Amino acid sequence: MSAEVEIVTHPSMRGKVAVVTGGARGMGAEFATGLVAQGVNVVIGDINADAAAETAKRIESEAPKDGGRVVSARVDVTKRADQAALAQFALDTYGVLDYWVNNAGIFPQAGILEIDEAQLDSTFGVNVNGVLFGVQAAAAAMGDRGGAIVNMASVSAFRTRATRGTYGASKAAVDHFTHFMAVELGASGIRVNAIAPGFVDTDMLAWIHETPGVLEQALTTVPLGRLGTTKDILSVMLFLLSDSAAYVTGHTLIIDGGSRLN
Amino acid sequence: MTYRPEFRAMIAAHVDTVNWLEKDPDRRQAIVLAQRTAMAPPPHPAPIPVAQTWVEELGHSDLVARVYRPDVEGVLPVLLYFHGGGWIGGTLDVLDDSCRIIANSAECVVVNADYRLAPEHPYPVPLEDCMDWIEWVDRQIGRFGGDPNNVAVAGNSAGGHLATAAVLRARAAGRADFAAQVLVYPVLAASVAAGSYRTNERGPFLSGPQMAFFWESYLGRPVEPADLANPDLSPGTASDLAGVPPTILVSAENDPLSDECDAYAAALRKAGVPIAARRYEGQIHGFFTMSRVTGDAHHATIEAARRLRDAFDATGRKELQQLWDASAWR
Ligand SMILES: NC(=O)c1ccc[n+]([C@@H]2O[C@H](COP(=O)([O-])OP(=O)(O)OC[C@H]3O[C@@H](n4cnc5c(N)ncnc54)[C@H](O)[C@@H]3O)[C@@H](O)[C@H]2O)c1
Repeated sequence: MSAEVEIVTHPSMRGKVAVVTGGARGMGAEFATGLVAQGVNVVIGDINADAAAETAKRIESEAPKDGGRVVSARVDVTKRADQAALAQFALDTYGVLDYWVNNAGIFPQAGILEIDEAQLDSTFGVNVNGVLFGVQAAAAAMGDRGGAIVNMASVSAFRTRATRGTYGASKAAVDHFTHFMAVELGASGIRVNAIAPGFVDTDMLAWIHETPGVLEQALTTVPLGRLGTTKDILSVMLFLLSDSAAYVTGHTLIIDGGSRLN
Repeated sequence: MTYRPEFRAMIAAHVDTVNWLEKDPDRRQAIVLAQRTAMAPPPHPAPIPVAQTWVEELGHSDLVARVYRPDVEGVLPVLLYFHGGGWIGGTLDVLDDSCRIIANSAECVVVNADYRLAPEHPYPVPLEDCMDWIEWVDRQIGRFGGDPNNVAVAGNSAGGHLATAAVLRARAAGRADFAAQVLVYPVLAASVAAGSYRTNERGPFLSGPQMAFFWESYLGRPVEPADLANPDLSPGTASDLAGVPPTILVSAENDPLSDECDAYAAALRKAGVPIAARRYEGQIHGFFTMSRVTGDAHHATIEAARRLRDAFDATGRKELQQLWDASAWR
């Protein structure tokens, strides 16, 4: 089994300001926690405002002495105006915006013959429109002084499993959109990259634990032999936002323990 | 003395070759000009977005101020900011980032105001220019949606000195109280004898002898013991501090001025003036405007702006101190 991930300190991150969408739980909550630990001031945006406030309170109370601040706000990422207001909230709270993580996402499952309008609209609304509107809001608040953005794609964009068509297509769109965002925002000093996680043990993966045998079956496709942890993804997200990745843009980093290869 | 890791390489390479004790006026002027160049900011990064900016003239002596307004409706409180630079240098550009951050996060109109510089314009000219800016704010700020009845002042280094001295002068002249003063490693006492002058004898970035040179440029003579009793020159050692506005004080561990900052914080607390003070360990004089070198620059700006907003909204001095005490300055 592969080792536990090591989280390094990025001195360039201290004092910066980040927005994390979908930060009430799962990977987004881990990102917010990890950013605060680096001394970054964070805004958690989530459609579940109560859970986001709860998470912010917990992170604040557990933050290290020289950690950043954290506040929360309600956002429906499918709404362009909501995302613009979220960026403005970051400016109102901290004065400046340096990082943005488009993390909110939903994971529907349905066979090709069953996919209906509602599933397509909701999935693309959150996973694709939500990422685009987030990038638009972030770029406006960053202006021409630069910044870094990370979009959440998925290994489902690159490998094919039955019933993941809608999700995989939406995440493939995120991967491809990221290229255009990187090209068009490069002149403003804004880097845009994506992360494509494999199996990461969050609420989104509840189904894998529900039926006996499913987890074991899934793990046979993961060369490193375990599920990913939210920290496995955090480590790469911090790298991509930090100046360690100063010349990295338009990339999708697949963090999946090798599962795309099977 | 410890330094934050981001400064270690710079400090190892630092050699002070300036003869701060130079007496020849021409050669002193050459040092002043070299200092002005050294204090000029590197090529300006693109600005942090705010809703609107203006450039306004004071009406005499070519002085201008930049006015920044955040994306907030309605009549807003006001911060009048004076840049640093040893009274001999510094520009509005150096504080542009900080003023924009403060405008956005404290939700106030910020006036980033220039003043004439020594030694060409020694004391009291820079201080009088600051007084003129206060009067300008009181009369004009309504045009920018600012509230002339909720005004704070701020400054870093020599600008912090001018802000503190101007507040005392305005008070003596009967102006209504300011909402707050935000002081970033201010010069508070006309003396070069403090222990922190010794421990920071060789700087870097601000050395004891360099600070003495700045004083001499500002006054046209070295500091004298009597200057400690002049509130224009030593606003931090004034005998009656009770009327000083709520104070947000940022200081650096490795700074000739750290002792006078510490003493001022203690004196204000004793006098019952609301005070939120944070001494940044491992930091040096000047860090507040070095955002591309140290993360503490924006950290300090954001934390100070939070507390400024508290002061603008405060219902009373006691409540404000309780609020500040309850919130850790990370
Ligand atoms: N968990 C995995 O195995 C996995 C794998 C690949 C990719 N991802 C992607 O990583 C991201 C985070 O996944 P997770 O596992 O932490 O998910 P999660 O379901 O645990 O959390 C998602 C969060 O997004 C919020 N959200 C949903 N819709 C929203 C909307 N319209 N506006 C604002 N917030 C909204 C939810 O309230 C929730 O807090 C998603 O984009 C997901 O697609 C996850």
